[in-house]
Amino acid sequence: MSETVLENKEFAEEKFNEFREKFNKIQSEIARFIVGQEDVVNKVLIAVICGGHALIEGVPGLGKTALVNTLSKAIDVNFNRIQFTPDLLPADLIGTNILLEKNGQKVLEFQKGPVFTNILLADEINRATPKTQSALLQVMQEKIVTVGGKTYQLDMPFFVLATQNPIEMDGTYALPEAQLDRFFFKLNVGLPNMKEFSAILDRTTGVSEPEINSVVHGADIIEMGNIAKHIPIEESVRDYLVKIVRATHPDVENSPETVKKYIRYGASPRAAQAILAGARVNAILNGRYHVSSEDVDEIAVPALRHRILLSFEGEAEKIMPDEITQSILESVN
Amino acid sequence: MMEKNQFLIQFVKKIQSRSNLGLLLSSLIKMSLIGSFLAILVSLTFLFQGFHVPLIYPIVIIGFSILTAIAYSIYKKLSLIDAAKNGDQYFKLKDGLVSAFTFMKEGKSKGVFDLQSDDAYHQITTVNPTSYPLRISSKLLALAVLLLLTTGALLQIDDSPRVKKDRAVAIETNKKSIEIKEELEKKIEDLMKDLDDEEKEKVRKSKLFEMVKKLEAEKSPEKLALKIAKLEKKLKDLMKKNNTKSEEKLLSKLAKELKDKKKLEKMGKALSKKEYKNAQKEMDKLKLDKLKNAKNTKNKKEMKKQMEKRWKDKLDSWKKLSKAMKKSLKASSSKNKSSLSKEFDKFAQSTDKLAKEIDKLEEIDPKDLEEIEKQMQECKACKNQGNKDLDKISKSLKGLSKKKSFYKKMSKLQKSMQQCQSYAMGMQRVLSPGGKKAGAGADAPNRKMQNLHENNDQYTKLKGTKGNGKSFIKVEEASSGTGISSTSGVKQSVKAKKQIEAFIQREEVPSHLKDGVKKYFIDVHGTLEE
Repeated sequence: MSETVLENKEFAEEKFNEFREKFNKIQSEIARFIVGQEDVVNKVLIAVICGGHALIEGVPGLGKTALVNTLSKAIDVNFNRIQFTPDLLPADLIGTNILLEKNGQKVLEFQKGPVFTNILLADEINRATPKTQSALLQVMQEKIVTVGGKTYQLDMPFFVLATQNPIEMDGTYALPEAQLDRFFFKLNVGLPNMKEFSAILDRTTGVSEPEINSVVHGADIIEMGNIAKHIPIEESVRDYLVKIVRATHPDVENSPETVKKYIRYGASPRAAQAILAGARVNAILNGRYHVSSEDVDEIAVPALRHRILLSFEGEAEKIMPDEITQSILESVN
Repeated sequence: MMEKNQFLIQFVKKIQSRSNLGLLLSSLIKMSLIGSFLAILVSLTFLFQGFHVPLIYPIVIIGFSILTAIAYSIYKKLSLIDAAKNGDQYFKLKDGLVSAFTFMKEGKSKGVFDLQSDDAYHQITTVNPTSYPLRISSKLLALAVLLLLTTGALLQIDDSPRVKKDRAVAIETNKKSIEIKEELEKKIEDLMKDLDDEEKEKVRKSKLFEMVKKLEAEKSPEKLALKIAKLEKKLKDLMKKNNTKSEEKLLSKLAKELKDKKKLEKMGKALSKKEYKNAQKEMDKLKLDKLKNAKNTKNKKEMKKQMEKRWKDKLDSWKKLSKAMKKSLKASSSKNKSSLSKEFDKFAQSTDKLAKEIDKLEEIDPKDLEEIEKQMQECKACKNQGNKDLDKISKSLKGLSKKKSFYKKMSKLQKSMQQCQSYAMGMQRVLSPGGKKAGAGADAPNRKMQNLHENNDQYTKLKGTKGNGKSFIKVEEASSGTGISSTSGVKQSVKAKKQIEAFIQREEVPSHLKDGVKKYFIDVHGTLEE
């Protein structure tokens, strides 16, 4: 989509309305199977629209995998799921060259791995070894795979939706910071409330389960991402965003005391990019044509959650990154 | 589009003006609080000392606070962008207003910007910019008003009675000092008219006039009296140089010695009557004649005879005079010997020497002309010296009458100064005679109303009961029962002075008390002699 496409007011309005319609369609389709978790679903969709990856954390049984499965069905794209285990190798992810005999000649042919898809579910990503986890770095950032000196471009759209279990830490490998930074959002799946609990039982233990239909295509997701980029941000709001990200660093003069005390290292500029992109989508969803500081506040929490590295004191006192983010938002405001 | 943009600008401007007004009012309230608090502190400082608070201080402090508030609010004046942000915050426009305003300023108006602008326009049309609050703290406003009222109330408090009294004394003293200054200036001017050039020069050198001019600004009676006392001391110093008492004493002794002496009686009478000019004339008559130089032997002999004949009588008078002088010198055992006594000494010596030389001349063999000639020259030299000494004494007599006259004139001035000092200390004013001119009658007293005495709140002419009250004047002057003292201030002053002098002389008075009193008089008058 070129820059000139939205120069016409009516056309732009039409496109933004379409954006909202498609978003609502996906959301409604997912809601047919996933009960509650609106915020998680919203954020996952925002991450997907922005071309980012999401790390979904929650105890087993809360529907993390189900959410990703449902999303992949709602969007008419290819979907692969990998169950990460300690013996998983990088080649199991990205593929490998296999010696084949063709026309009487032995040739090396690249056998594509499961990453060659549109939506990749990396289930329990923290169970794989760091070596295997690192194999995802190039894929997630550049959306390409290099094997045997050859580079292969992944199909667009491409999203990694990873899950991890925060309580079963035995036999797990914490994700390296570089990889964490490549996730657009880290989303916490919480326990459903009483009403939601009942609804989950109704929907999942009956004779039939709801059937999820594709409501949008992969191209629509790419287009939605491009439309969102047209949402302007005013200078002071942009400064506000930058202040928030800078305030996550303990060595910055104006950072709050909690940051100075509990943070080892703050968020990177990639975090600011993620917040801005997410805030733009959030603005459209809220019927606005500009980014507001409320959008920034809303997106900052999941975007910074995994990018703030706690210090020893922070770890010892079991400080939650969300608390730090809230204190930063209050201090910058 | 233009209409929409205009509306947007107007909306932001209204918020800006209200924000700035709010900032100004808020600054004014805060600075008024600070200003009135400081004004209260300053006012209390005055009031604790008993003074009425001068209006200028609170006005300057509060005025300065208000100016500071205005300057601060101008300095912190909100820009349109800030006003738009404030509008967003207050009307919950979620940065729509500031975004639309910024994009409009940047000239971005197509596509999504147009949509954004429309969105913002629709939102702001639903709100009233004049409802934007001024954000003034009502508590601070109430407190500021309260403090301002308190300041106003403190301004109403009058001077304490003590301060009022002090002020009245200061005003009165100032008036007195002006009066005294004018009086003394007049006196000195009058005096200057009577003085000859030499005397005028003496007065000028003493800088009396300059000191008198400095009297005007004084407000404390004690300081004023001290200044006058210093002035008086200056005058006394001047008078001391022209004091003829020791000379007069010596001359009166001499007059006694000359009373029965032939040819010197007139001089003696003149001296005893202090008619020094006549005495001077008589003294001039005693000068020995000048003899012509002899050219030959005959003449020399003749000259010797003439010298013996013509000088004999006068030499007798010289001898008598010098003897009388010696006696008078012995009789006056004054420590401070006058210059006249030295001249008397010299004259006596010259007389003795001349008498001896003449005796020698008589003893010389008449034939020894050379020796006669030589001795005559000696005699002439002695005669000349004697004449000179006489001349000096004569001149001293002449100067004496001048000095005496100057001393008398200065004494008048001194008396005026003493009266001024008494007047400055709150005593009766007797600088010049009261009453009107002859024939006009005296229907009102020439004196001004006296001040209340600070110790007992009574007039200087006291009513009182003997033995009660703080004032020593009251104890000294008031008779038992009620009544008004008829003793004048000067008399009181003299009497008090005598009492204190007598007190100092009493042997049972401890020495440290004596010294204290002596020091006081020395400080005031420079000496205890007068």
